[in-house]
Amino acid sequence: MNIEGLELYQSKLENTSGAWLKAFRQKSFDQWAQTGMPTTKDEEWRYTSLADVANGRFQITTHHQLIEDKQFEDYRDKSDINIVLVNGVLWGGLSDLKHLPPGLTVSSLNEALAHTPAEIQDTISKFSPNDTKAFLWMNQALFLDGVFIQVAKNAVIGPLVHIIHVTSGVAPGTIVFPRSFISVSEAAQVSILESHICFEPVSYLSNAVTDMKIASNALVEYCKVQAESHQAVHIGSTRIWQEKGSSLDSFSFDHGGKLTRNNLSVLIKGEGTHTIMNGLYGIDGNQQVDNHTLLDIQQPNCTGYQLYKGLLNGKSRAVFNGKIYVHSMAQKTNAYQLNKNLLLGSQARVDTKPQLEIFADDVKCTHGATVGQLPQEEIFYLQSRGITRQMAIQLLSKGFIDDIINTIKSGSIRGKLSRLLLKKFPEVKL
Amino acid sequence: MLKIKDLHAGIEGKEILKGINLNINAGEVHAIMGPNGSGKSTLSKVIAGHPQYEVTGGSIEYEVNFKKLNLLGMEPDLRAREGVFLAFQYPVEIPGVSSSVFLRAAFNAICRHQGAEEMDPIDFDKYLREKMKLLEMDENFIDRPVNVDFSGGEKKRNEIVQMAVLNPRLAVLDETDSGLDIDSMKIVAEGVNKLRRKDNAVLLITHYQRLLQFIQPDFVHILYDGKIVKSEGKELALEVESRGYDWLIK
Repeated sequence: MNIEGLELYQSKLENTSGAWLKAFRQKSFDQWAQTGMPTTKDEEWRYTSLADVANGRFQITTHHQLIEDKQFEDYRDKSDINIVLVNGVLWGGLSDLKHLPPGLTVSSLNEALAHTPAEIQDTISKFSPNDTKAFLWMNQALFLDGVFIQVAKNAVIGPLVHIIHVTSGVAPGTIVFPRSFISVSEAAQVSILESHICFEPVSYLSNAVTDMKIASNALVEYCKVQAESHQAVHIGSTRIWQEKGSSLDSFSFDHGGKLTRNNLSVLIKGEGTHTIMNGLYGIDGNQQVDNHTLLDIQQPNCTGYQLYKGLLNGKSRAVFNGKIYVHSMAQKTNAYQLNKNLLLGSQARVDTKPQLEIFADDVKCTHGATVGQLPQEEIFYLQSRGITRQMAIQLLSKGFIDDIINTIKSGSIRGKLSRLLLKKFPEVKL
Repeated sequence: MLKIKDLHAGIEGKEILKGINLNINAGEVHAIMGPNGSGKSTLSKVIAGHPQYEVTGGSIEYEVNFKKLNLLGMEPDLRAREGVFLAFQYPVEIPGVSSSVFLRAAFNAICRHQGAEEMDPIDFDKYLREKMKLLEMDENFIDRPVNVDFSGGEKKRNEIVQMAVLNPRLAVLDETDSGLDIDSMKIVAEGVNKLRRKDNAVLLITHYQRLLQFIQPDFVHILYDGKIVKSEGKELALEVESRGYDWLIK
């Protein structure tokens, strides 16, 4: 890929980086330069071609202004704690930073790296890169700023913490580097929604990285919403570290973007953890969404449940590759994994590959996948009660979605997801 | 109310019903008994209009509100809106759709069709709870997805709840007794008996005579190899119970 003005941009970054960050950027840049873009010859990229990105001309923006948009205001709920980043930079004027509840710290990532760097540096250095490594390294070499969120020990944060990464006012072919670091301390509780959103019909590449550390006995609900412009490419890498007795209830929602690749890795580093990795993609037209997930269970007595559902219209395409890796240490693991796809469009396509790799002998693990249209038996059952075939299809499609949306605990998140879906699939509106 | 004439039907090219003749008048309860594989469930699915079954001959005339309708020419949902109801032998699970949403959609579709006023969610909620109480169903089921994680008995009772809500003219109960313990069967039978009126009819499809102790039929028909081989009063069921089916099919 060709990035205009890269050297000038880098020298500017260098002037604002401390010693650790400077070295970190340089190392990442070298790794990126050596790696090259993945191709469909790589097993983990078999169904998703990045040719357009590899051959594209890009630029980086240092311009950060939200073009006022009513839709943005509608998307923000007053009852949430909203933290807004425009093109990767924390935007104080639109964020609720002044009246944060006790136990919640929010700052720009650069600020956090300057003042309290140890924890961030320590955690980031422990994560290994996943299949999106070329993009991860690019982000680490070039991210401008980001957000740092910390929840203090034993703190219970009531309102939803909503991180909104909005892309706005960029020229076509711009790359943005949203970056978040979230640290939830021992026995703390928090619900976090991270939205990647754009209300302008523009093409860009969003190369997003979120790292999260969940300390022992903490309870975290985390949802990622990808509602980029329909001309955008979104490559996201989310890495989560779970310690003893902690609980993660995660949800991944894909709605926008021309091409999306999500890599979500959860590392289980302590005993007795509980992990839910659910997701929903609702796509149409020529959209493509590729979800790669990894649940890496390295300790005993853990549970891990995964259900990803897809609603596909038009010629859209989805890829699901979910891996649950149960190490030999991880006895008494209880895990299941399921991917269900509903094809509304006759030309939609799904490539699904649920994978279990088990090296412990005393575990209970199942997996499965379905791809298809609505079951005829269900349609007939509704018709036999007087409901027209068309209405039956609406009810069942909505049921297919609600079934998974209702697993989200936060009402604020459920509301936002339902509103986005209804706008896109008016056929499920009742 | 229902006139079935020389009905031939099958599935995937295999003929199962080989000339059924049956007349059901308003106010009557008919029972169809027969050994496994005789075509009982096929008959119920054909009456309801299941798309997998192909009708190759004969006719079904359905008379309701002084209209004579050719049932076989109607979509399954139109049949239901005209008052035909099938209680499924294997009720289908509908993930993500709650009983209240599902049944209100059905109830209002029928109301619209029959020119009656639709019911708003609050009134319907009350109405549905009454019907659930009648069948001793846990009221929590109202907000749960239809039939999902229900026990076998709960699913069967839920079919009769739906029948009570939709108030059909012709109810076909396909082996509603199978898989029910005796207490559940009494609840179901009581529910059905309460719904019996002069202007509606019930067709009970059953393998055993058990259910007929609680819902007394006016006529009993024996179905064998796609044909009705004997029709008599309710005492025929007792005879089948003691003698089996063999003597009827020689």
